Amino acid sequence: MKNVLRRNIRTLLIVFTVMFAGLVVYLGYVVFMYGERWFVTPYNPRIQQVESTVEPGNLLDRTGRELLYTKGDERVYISDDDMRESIAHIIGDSYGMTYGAQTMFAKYMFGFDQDTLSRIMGLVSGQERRGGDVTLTIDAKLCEKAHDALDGYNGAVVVMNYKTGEILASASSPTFDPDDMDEFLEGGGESELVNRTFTGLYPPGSTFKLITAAALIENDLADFEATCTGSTEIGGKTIACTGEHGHEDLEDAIRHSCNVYFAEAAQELGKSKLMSEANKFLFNNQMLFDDAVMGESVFENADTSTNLGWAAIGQYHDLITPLHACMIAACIANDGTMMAPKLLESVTYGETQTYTLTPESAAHPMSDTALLKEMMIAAVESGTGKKAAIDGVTLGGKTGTAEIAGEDGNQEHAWFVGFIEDDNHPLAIAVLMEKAGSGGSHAAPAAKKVLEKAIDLGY
Amino acid sequence: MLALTILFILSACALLSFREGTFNLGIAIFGLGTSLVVLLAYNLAALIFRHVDRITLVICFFLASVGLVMLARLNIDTAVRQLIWLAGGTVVLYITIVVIKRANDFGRLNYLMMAGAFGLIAFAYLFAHTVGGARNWVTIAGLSFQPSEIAKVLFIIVSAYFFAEKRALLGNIVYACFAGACVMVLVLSNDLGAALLFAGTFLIMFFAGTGRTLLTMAGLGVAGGGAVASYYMFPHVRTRVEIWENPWRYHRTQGYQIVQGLMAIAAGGAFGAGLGLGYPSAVPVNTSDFIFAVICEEFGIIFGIIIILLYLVFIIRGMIIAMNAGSRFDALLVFGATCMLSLQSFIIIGGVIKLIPLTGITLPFISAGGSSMVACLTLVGIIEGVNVKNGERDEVEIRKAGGEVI
Amino acid sequence: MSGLYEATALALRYWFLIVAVIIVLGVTSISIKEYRDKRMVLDVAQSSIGYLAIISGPDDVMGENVPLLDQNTIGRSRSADIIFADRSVDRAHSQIYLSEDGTVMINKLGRGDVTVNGIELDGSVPIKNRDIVCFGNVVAKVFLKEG
Repeated sequence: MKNVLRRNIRTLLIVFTVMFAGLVVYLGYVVFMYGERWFVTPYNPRIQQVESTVEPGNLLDRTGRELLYTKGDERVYISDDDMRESIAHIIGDSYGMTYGAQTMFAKYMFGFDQDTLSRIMGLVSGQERRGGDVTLTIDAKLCEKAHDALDGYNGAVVVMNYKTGEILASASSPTFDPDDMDEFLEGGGESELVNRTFTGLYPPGSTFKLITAAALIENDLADFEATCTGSTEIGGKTIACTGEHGHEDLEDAIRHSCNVYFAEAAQELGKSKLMSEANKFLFNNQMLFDDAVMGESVFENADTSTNLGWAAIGQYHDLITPLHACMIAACIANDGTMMAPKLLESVTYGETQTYTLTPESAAHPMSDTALLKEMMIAAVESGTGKKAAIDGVTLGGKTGTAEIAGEDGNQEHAWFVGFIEDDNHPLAIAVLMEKAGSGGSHAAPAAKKVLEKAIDLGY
Repeated sequence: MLALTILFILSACALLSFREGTFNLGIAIFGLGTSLVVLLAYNLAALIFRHVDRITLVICFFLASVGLVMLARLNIDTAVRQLIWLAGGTVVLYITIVVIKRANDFGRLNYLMMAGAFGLIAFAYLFAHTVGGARNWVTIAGLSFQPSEIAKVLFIIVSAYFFAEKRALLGNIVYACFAGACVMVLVLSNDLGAALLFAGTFLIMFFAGTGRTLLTMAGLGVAGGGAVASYYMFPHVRTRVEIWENPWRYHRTQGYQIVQGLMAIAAGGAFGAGLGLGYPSAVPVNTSDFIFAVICEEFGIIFGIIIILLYLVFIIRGMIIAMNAGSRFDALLVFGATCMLSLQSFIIIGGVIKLIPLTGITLPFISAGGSSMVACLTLVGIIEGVNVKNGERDEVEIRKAGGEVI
Repeated sequence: MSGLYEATALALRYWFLIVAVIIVLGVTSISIKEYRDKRMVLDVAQSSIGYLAIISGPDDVMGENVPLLDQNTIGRSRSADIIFADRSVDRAHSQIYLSEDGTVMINKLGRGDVTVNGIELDGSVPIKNRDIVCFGNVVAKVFLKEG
């Protein structure tokens, strides 16, 4: 009897040891992974408390333009109204209502990242505590252009350097003025505070065909051919196309943005291969990046073959953020390596730089994108992306016209994602214009304007 | 090592006394007072009882010191009150050791204890005022205490009695009903933490005492089923689970506690923000349930991990004492006491770091709370008591072999 | 709050951590040592049949209690169970052992004399609790556990 009892006690001893070891591991792991994110939330009173004792550093764009700085006793935003409003979502507000650089990089601006020794030295020598100056990757002038290019439509524009992941411009409309938050503090306003670029989830429409094409290429189905008669019957239902494209191969289908081709190709591919490709491109992924809090893009397994067809052309339940769309174009341009989005260029304390941007790879879904790049370039030269073409520049792209059901019948979001094939201008772009119509007629020309400005500014 | 603990207390209080710019005599005196109490309590125990387990005492007093230092930083009045409870609790500890030394089991007294325990819990249910959603605090003559804490101790003693020998069926049925009733009333009082604690300890002791794995699994299943049922039946259970899954969504309302706790823990980083430099006033219930979070904020995660490890060493030592016990009753007593303390620590720490849904119970030795401190010290008294019995028995054995116990 | 307080608090973090580390390491290592020692001692204590209280003998065992197991060879040799480093003791001098019927016996192995309560021994005889035995110049009192 005694022995049984002792054995049971020993068993419980092991159980408890495992439980407590689990506690230790969980604590360490969770603080390591999420600690910073927990700390930097806008409703952390510690950040506000520290504001009274530490002089925050300045917020600058990559050219050194002061976006938010201390003038005398006050914190002042950049005076140019248009510029300020175009970078509003990126820099955020000081009341914690949006999650911009002011909050995300507060730890640098208030000096939380200083190592203990410097802090102690600073304290002992009685210096006024000052945080670090934060330089962002964006160029405010390019953001201004990006915002203009939306031409009054709600939507988002984002430009990235596809080799490093740096976000050169990001604009979201409608926007707000961080210097005038009264309306929002009183509970007013509609969706101005939403950062559509980073967190807005939209059906990708035809831009998703890039993923479907990638899946075809990766699964040796790049030579798939189809005949488009304007519509096709899949699973007993009709999927219509934008035109009669006749006999097509993959390149034709990309150029024409043919629904029939891709819907049929998807049946050949099968839903699990398409799902697997989407996941490789970071759909259904938490998107936990140091510099960006993004919405989670969605790609669901279709339940019927018809829905598989719709999913392959970017409808059904597919959802993507404009930033993710840009990352996908960037990935294709960067020979298959998707770089993590970077917003923080550097942090300096006086003369010392305590942080420098290091490009990070986020995913590597394809090993050879040459074929896909060619097709995207063809799409701009002679396909639906013609209105994005820039003289003297090799531009690849994909238009998208995503249908959404609205109160006034079906409406269309206009998409354009693309890249410049030139090592001197390694730029990728995504443009989304809500309910504007076709991607080719609205989003493509907008992208052209923004990229021209980017080249002009030297990127 | 006790010396180190004393040094810790003194240095921490010395630092704290300068927090407000001018020297705060109160805190300095508190530091001295605490050191004295700890010194006295430990050495008295070692003097009176030759075979008392010193290491376990060191762990308990160190943990208590960490708690007291933190309380001194948060609210000196609470700290002083806690110190008094520590002193009082230590006296109860000595008494418990003596009682356990002499008792073999409590026989008929058990039925009285069952009635007493259930009575206390029911009393709380009926007359307690709601604090933080749970009805477990009762005020008598200006002093507030938690009846469920006292019931805890009685529960262990009673359970050990019933699992030690084969008892009459009627007795077992009465015991089973008693256990079930306690848990139910606790759930009704919305004191989910205590309910979980009682249920868990019951199941564990059942397993140890009867060795019937299948039945225990079945019991676990029933408990699990009960938990799931309560999820659907009681909205407050449902909210707790939702808050556990994504507290950030409710950060201004019900998730406020856990979110503030997490932010405090994150603010500490590995080494802590520094004693007195954190912002613990943002964390609700920071003197009891969430004290672990504020300790992590000011002392760091590594320190927090060490605290968890100290609880683990305490548990291991307790289990070893149980395995060396002379009679089944003694073994089950120690085992039960150890399990209860371990389960309690696990539940609250797990809740604060969001490993499991949050339930409101105290962290043994560290959280502010007179009844909690006294109850925990009583349980330690049970553990020490059996250890003393073991020690004396072993001493006889060794003497017969010609050895000497120093 | 002064900068000096902050600086001190920041520095003291490491001190507090060191205290905690020392305590947890100390507690763990002492626990392990204690457990092993106790196990060892209890094992011997539980399996022993009694002990010899050395009244006079070499310095290293003078005044000590030497535990007796079921079988004990006594002598000067280092391979003996009980070693007496004295020239009057033979390399293999005597044996104290538990016989089949439960009585404890003592015998003579070599040429050195073994006495029980003053009487010189020849062959093997039983010994009981509180008997005085001599091995050469070593004198010891026998204590046996009952049963």
